[in-house]
Amino acid sequence: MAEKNTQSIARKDDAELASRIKDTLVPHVDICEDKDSVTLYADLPGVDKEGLDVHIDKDTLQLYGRRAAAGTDAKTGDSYTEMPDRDYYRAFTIGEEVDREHIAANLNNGVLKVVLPKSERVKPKKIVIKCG
Amino acid sequence: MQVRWYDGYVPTFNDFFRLRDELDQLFDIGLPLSNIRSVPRGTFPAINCEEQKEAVRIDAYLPGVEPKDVELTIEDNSLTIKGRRETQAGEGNYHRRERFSGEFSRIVSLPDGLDSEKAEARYHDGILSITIARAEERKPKQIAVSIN
Repeated sequence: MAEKNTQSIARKDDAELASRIKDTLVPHVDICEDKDSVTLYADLPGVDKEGLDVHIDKDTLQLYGRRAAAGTDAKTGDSYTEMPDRDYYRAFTIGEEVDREHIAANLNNGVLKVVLPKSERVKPKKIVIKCG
Repeated sequence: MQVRWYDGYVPTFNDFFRLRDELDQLFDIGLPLSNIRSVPRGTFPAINCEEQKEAVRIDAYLPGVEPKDVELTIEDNSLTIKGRRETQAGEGNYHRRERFSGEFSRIVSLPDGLDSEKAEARYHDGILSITIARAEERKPKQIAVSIN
């Protein structure tokens, strides 16, 4: 029963997400891993804290950033655009080893940093060799 | 910065459009005839320009750059945006390194009749907005018609 409910919620979310991620920009990311965690940095210029949505659904990490309106009311003449006024979306699959309870996200000057810590059981362990 | 946009509705197809764009970029395929000062697509920082009645506005997309690390100069109808961005993250292995790192410089041609003394720059959420006012004598004026 619980599973069915989850599935219906997921379908509802998917429909909403499908409409939200239509025509989105794909932000550039750096992804770096060390023994304790995987860290993701994403360039999201023009996104503030209210416009940012980072969430994990099962094994997918989804990043969604809504661009704040650029306030182009004063525009009168020609313009040149390299960054169209669109939102950002990108998603990654993550493995079992990520400790979902302790994921931390921070947005500063248009750069999102997400730290995905690894759970204790998958961290490398040194095996002590006993002699004798 | 190489942020791309796509018309595809289905997110899966984004990857195909992206592949095409990246191949174009790899071989720097553009128009057969280009301005000698033009820059390839995806040059960091991305720039939007807009003509306004009283001013011209240039937005440079500079996420993660400290304003003190950016130098703005206006000279002979051109605006230079120059600086440095560090994207070091720390120890560990990189799986992806797509974000621009290092020195950057872009020159934007400005229209005639701007007053470089009246230029303002503001940095907000990773976007540097530069507004340069039009010179007084260039602003549109209304001429009153007198009746004899």
